[in-house]
Amino acid sequence: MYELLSALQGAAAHPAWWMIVLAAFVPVMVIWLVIQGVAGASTYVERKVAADIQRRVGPNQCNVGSFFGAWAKEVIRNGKGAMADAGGRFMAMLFIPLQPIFAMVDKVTAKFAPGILIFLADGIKLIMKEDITPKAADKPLFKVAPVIVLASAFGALATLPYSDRFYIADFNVGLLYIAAIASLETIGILMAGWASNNKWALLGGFRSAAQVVSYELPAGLAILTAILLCGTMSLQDMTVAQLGLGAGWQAGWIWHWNIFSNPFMLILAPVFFLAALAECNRTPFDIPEAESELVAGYHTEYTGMRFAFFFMAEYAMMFVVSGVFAVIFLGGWSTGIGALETWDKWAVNGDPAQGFYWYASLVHLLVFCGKAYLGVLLMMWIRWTIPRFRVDQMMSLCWRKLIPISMTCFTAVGIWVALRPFVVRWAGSEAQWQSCAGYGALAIAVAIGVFLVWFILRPLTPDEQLRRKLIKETSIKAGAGHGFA
Amino acid sequence: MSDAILQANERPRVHTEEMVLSMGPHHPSTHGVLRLEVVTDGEVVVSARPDIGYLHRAIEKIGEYVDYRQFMPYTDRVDYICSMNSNHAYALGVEKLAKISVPLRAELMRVMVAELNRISSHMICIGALAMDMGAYTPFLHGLCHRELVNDIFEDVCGARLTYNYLTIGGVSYDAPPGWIEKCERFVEYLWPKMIEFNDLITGNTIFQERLCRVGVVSPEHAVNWGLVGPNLRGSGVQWDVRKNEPYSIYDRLEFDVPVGDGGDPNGSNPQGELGDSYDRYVVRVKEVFESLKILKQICSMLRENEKLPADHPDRLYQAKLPVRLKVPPGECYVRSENPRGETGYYVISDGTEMPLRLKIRTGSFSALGCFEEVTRGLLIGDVIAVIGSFDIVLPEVDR
Repeated sequence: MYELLSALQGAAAHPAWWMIVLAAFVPVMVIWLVIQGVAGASTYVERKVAADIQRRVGPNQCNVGSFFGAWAKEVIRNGKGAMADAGGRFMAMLFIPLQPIFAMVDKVTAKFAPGILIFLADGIKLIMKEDITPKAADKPLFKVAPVIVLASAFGALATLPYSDRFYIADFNVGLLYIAAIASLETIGILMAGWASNNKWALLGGFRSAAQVVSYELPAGLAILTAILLCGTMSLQDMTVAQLGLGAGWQAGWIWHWNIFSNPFMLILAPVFFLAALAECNRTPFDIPEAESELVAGYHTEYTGMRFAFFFMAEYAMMFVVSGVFAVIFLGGWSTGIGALETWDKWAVNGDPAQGFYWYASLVHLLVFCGKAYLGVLLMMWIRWTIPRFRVDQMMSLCWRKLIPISMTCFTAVGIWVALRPFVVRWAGSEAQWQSCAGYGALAIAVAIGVFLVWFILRPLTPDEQLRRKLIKETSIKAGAGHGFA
Repeated sequence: MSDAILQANERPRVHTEEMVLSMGPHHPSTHGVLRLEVVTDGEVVVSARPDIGYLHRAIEKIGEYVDYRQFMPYTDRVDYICSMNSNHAYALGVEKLAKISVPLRAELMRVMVAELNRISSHMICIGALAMDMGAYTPFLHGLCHRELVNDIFEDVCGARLTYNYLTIGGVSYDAPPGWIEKCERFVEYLWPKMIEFNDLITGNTIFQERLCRVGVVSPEHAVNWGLVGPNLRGSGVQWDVRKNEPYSIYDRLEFDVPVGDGGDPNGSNPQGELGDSYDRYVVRVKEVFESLKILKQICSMLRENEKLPADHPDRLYQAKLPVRLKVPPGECYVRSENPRGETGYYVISDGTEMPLRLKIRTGSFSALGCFEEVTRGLLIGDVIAVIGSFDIVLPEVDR
């Protein structure tokens, strides 16, 4: 953040006082906005994804125009609705001249994102709900638990490298910090489970503790492997390392991303993703809040905004772990297009002397958020498709499968890194080795492409043919054509 | 290896205490107002005792105070997930006692709605079981298909849940125009949709691992505990009242009786054990396909029936009966195959317009009987699986 400001101010010897104040307050507000935006947008996207998978329409009533317009109408005409006092009426009066604009906006949003403001309606509902603390609860713990859970997600968002210039904090122990602060969430969940004085909540808290402690190991080993490969714990440096600068025409291309750098990282990526799912308590690892087993798990007794804190933390956490996945495997904010990343009108290696290209930063920001959000979408897809594990299956998956796999990959990558100097010497120079590796990656990509083409064009077994024929013909004939959905 | 396990067992165990969990009557997955008194040691269930009676409405006693026709709406409420089948069982009992013969068209309509209702009931069961296992989507897919059955029922009798469609001696209304085509289209629609449903959840590894080897009821135990219907067939016992003691026109229809095949390497449940929760689930899925086969045959039989002249006795949808129906003294027990298994109506008549005694035997009640035995030593998540796979409907238990 400070670097961004100094870049804006130009090369100054001493920071102005307003820069220090801004550098302290702006990041906090930015993280808060990111949390709100991510959680809000994710609830909407989650509902739409679920609706699509479940053959429903999903939210479609709460559009931009009708949301404010209907509220203003209600307040002015009937004196009812939210904030129907003098101040509210004044605000509603301000909306009247905007009605035609609302109507226009309504038409657009209703077409492209129907019901987009459902998260505002949700938020208003949750704020206005009664905040209940059970009589027999451990009150201080009960009240502080959701704050701790949200704070851990809040803290973890701070170190994500959103783009080459825009990041809030970049420490040399960034990944260690994220691993530490993300596991703080468990303490909050355990506190919530214990303090609720509810047996279901207690079971949920214990399950969460067991789960997160176990799955930190494969996740931690995957992070450690990436650190081993890139030689840095800072998320920004790790991203820059994945640009592969100094490799001639090869620099900045997609095969410098960690996931393509060697076969073991390719195996490790799904392992990390599974562990990340478990750390977010998402399906198939939503065991701590398993609604069909433990009513609602650790947040059974929570209402209103305190419940919303858990909810927001879950979505923020999904974004954080997907962001970490993007950094340690998918090259962070790197576009993967070498010609672009090495262009001299494009800030690449974090050197302020090279100048600040705002459009490059913006594209990098979009690329990073896109990569992170792809992970979030994948989590949603998984949630609405597959069932949840049982407690013992979850534990055996972690200890008997994921940890051995990640341990093996960690060792193998260690050997890989140790052997690299010899390979480079054999290849002649670093650039030659890089181009060898690039051709290798290209060959693998071609092989995968050939396999995919074969997979699509392969001869079908009679069983598959019958199934395809049935689904294709009868669904169209009996379904769409005859009034059935 | 075995020595190591022995040594592990000899180690002093950590001191634990048992905890009593009151699961229900408002727990999300006890399928109604069932309360389970679960004693757990950590996650392990020491015992799970069902506590029933929250929905007792004295339906059997009401039966002694209303006449034979007036009791029909109450049979809807005995098991509201499959009202048509409940209607059918009661109508069979009274007709056997009063020696009433039902016209062919009425029989066809009865079997048609009974099989449609079996499908809609199984849709709820398999969908809810998937939801209990944490997969929300199959439940909504199941309900989506069930809506179409409800539409078909609404067309024929005006109701979507408690139909009161069957009467003593026939059915209330004849099929409206276009109704048979609608049923045929539904059969065409559902067959591929069920294949899609199987792709979605039945073959899912997590789903199979959650259900296989969980809540195992051996064939001997199943018979001894009096399990009926898909729960009994899930344990590998080939018993279906529609086949073994055919009533109505089931002896004229071709269909198979699917049974559980757990442990069979070529079967649908290769990693399971005969009589586990997955077997009970798969039996229901296969029964949907069998019901579709029956529906196909009934549709063509109804079409044949339409060709008869309008005054032909086979074209009547109701037998002509006196307005005040008096049943000769005597008693009879009739059973029919409901989605939740054999449902028996025991009717005693003293020659008046009202039964002297009416006793209902339902499948869910016997399934709850063996619940404590089956769930001992399982995990909390497994208890939910067992409840779901037994397909318990609480109004049927409490009556």
